[in-house]
Amino acid sequence: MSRANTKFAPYGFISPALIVLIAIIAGPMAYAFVLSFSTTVGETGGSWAGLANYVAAINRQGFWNALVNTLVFTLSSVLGQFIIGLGVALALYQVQNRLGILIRPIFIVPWAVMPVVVATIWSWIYNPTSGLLNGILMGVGVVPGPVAWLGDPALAMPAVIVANLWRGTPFVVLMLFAALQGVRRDLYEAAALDGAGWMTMTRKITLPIIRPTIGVVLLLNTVWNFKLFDLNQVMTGGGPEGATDILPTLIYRLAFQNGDFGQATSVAILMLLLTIGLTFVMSIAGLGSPASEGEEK
Amino acid sequence: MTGRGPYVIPRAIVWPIVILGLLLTLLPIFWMISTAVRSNREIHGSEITWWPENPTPDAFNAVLSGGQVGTYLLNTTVVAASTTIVATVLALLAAYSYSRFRFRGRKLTLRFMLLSQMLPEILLIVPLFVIMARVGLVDTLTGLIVCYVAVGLPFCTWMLTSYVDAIPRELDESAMIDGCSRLQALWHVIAPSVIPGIGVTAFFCFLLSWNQYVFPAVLINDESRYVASVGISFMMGEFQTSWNEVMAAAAVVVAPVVVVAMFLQRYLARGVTAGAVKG
Repeated sequence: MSRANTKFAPYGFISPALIVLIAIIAGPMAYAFVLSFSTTVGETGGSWAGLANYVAAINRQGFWNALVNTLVFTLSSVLGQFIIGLGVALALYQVQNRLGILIRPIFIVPWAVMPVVVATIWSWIYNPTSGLLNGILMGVGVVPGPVAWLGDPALAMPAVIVANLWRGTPFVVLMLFAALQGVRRDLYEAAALDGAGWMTMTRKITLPIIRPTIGVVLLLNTVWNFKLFDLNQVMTGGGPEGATDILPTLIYRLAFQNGDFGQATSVAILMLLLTIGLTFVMSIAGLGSPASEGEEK
Repeated sequence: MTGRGPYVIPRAIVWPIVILGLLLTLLPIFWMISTAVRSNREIHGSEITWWPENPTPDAFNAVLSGGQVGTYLLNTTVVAASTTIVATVLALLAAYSYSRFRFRGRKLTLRFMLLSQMLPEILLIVPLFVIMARVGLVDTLTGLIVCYVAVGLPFCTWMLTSYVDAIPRELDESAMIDGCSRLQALWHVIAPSVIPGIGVTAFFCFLLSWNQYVFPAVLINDESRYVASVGISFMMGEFQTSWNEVMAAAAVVVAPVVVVAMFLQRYLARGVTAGAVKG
């Protein structure tokens, strides 16, 4: 291996991956950018349209509705998944016997279930006439008659969020539990000798040690929930009356039902800017970021 | 506190949380299976029972013998397996480079990978649809594989880089002194030592591809090329949904990946943590 070989070798090894990423991600992204500034003619970009698509998109009533819904959906999902996930991870961590080891794998199940299937199972649970939820609630007399969970604009969003909590919480459990395994036991024993209670231990030992993982989990989950399309699309298609319409479902409709690629891409670009802004704010807030990975060590 | 584990939350609420968590985790799965073994008559009753009076495999027979679900499964398997092989190989090559070399553009390309990880698929699919139509890859499994590889690559590269980082440089350097080329050193020395990492990465990639929905929903119109996610979403959208059949198809589709995920549970967290958190 000569010097010259060493100089070019790194590029040789990354080039296959980079070529795919440039062809399928960078290229289309650039093209989306162009489309968002073009008039739409059939399936291809037309002439220069300036900011017309952006203006038209922002002036749509549906845009602000979808934006607010996206933020509500993302925030409640991320927070809900995190709080429940932390509780379960801590509880599992405290069960360090054989039974604990045996039941741990069960908690991962919803995470591996295809989101479309999550959507179908929960749609069936929410079914007004033969659904499980109405069956249970009417059985114990909480509701007098069948409730159309996904058909009522006031209930549809919470219903979809609950399905998403089921889907997304296991990832938090998985990550936080793994982080807890890394906490040295003797720290707790020493603290217990000093007479510290569980709250002190949680605040002074547990949380500080798993903080980096918490940061990563919150960041990844924010990005993933923000762009999640499958649940809303399959469960409600954004309805009823736009109650569960989020930016991804709006973009999908604009592009593939209205055939308006210009407006669809302009909303998509706005959404990307929001994602970047959101993650930027989160890493500024000191939540830690996977971006630190790969920095010169 | 021997054997009881550390004291991080009050003992009294540990088991209630665990049991409630287990119940809520399993309830939808149970309901899926309980519905799948019902007869047509039993799913539309207004009386809701936990378990059918006469469990029957009819719904499973219906979805499997009709051939449709079999086709979806075959397509999904072909696409997910091809994606996994291609993406893992490309990611391993890139990971080797990122782990062993410091070069101009290293940081920039890593940043680019981070950004592509954050991209909403819905943003990509609009221009990709136009491009794929032009190059004739709409309605082909190849088109799907190309998209999935690109979507999976950043995360795979990330995970594998941290695994390769853990292998001492001396190992591949001594192989090269013995006359191996870099590629041979990667293949004969590094790859065998990161087998667990490759396994976890490959499973992540497989799961991601298995569960994909946006790309096939847009790129595939021909029913003979449907993948499972699209097929199931259409089964549910039918005018008169046969819930027992939808749930039977769903159970068949999720069972393989769920079972593997449960077995790999311990390694999965290590993989993501290794890829995402540094030190």
